[in-house]
Amino acid sequence: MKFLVTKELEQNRLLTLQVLLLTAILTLFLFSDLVLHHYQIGLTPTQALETILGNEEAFLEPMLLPALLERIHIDIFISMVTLMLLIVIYIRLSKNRKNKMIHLTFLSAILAPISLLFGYFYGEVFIFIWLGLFLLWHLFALYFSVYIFRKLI
Amino acid sequence: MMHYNLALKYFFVMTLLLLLSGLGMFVLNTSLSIEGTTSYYAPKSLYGLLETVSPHLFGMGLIIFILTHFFAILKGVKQENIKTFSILFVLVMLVENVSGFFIMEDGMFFAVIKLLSALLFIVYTCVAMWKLLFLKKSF
Repeated sequence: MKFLVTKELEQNRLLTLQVLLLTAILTLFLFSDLVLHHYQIGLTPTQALETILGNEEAFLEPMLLPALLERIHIDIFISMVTLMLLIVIYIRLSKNRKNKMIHLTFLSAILAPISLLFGYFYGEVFIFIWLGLFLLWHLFALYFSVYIFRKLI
Repeated sequence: MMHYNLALKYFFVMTLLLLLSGLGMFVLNTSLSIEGTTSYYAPKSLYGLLETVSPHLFGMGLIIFILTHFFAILKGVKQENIKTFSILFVLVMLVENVSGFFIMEDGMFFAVIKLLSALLFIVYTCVAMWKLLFLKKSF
């Protein structure tokens, strides 16, 4: 990823444009990921609970453990790549970078899938925590995107 | 490199989680046994295998590149050692992915190869992270 963090970024207009395009695609991805999760799991507490734990009254089966693990596996990979790219560009561009913000973003992205797995075994509180953390890391990632846009445009 | 230490450490944590969740699925599907691996992979169709192999080639390849390219940036690293390490890392990843296709032919032998290469891939990833974290200049 050295090509993303070169010191020539401010002088090289072509590279600036390419980094801007990458950030635009990642921003678009963040929104589409939210929509996708809304359809697959549900981004409202009731819907998420029904998808993961099922609902006896509505005859809904709980999610199968291999399917949940696969979802978690994919989520970790996607959040890892997205956040690494955005944060590496952010670190290069910001003179007074906010380390707390970086910690919070990564921690929420790391704890979100763990909460989802805990929710499957230990109940609904962890599913609510997953929901909060999932939205949080997306919001923080969007903040980094906006910061990059403001610096480079 | 110094500025990116923070992001890099979180990248390592997420890579570990990725390995753990992958291992979790592997244990659930194969019980980490030769019989389990054979009975999981043998009935799979070509499409079913490709569905798993294709994203893994991309993801594992990317992780190998990200981890090994840091050694090329760091000073005081023996390039020859890293060259061998990187090639072996990629070969292990390829064997791990491709061996699934051959389990249909010779279940027992390739199931062993699949299990060993999967464990070896985990070991290689952990060694690369360990070296980057603690032994930056002695690799």
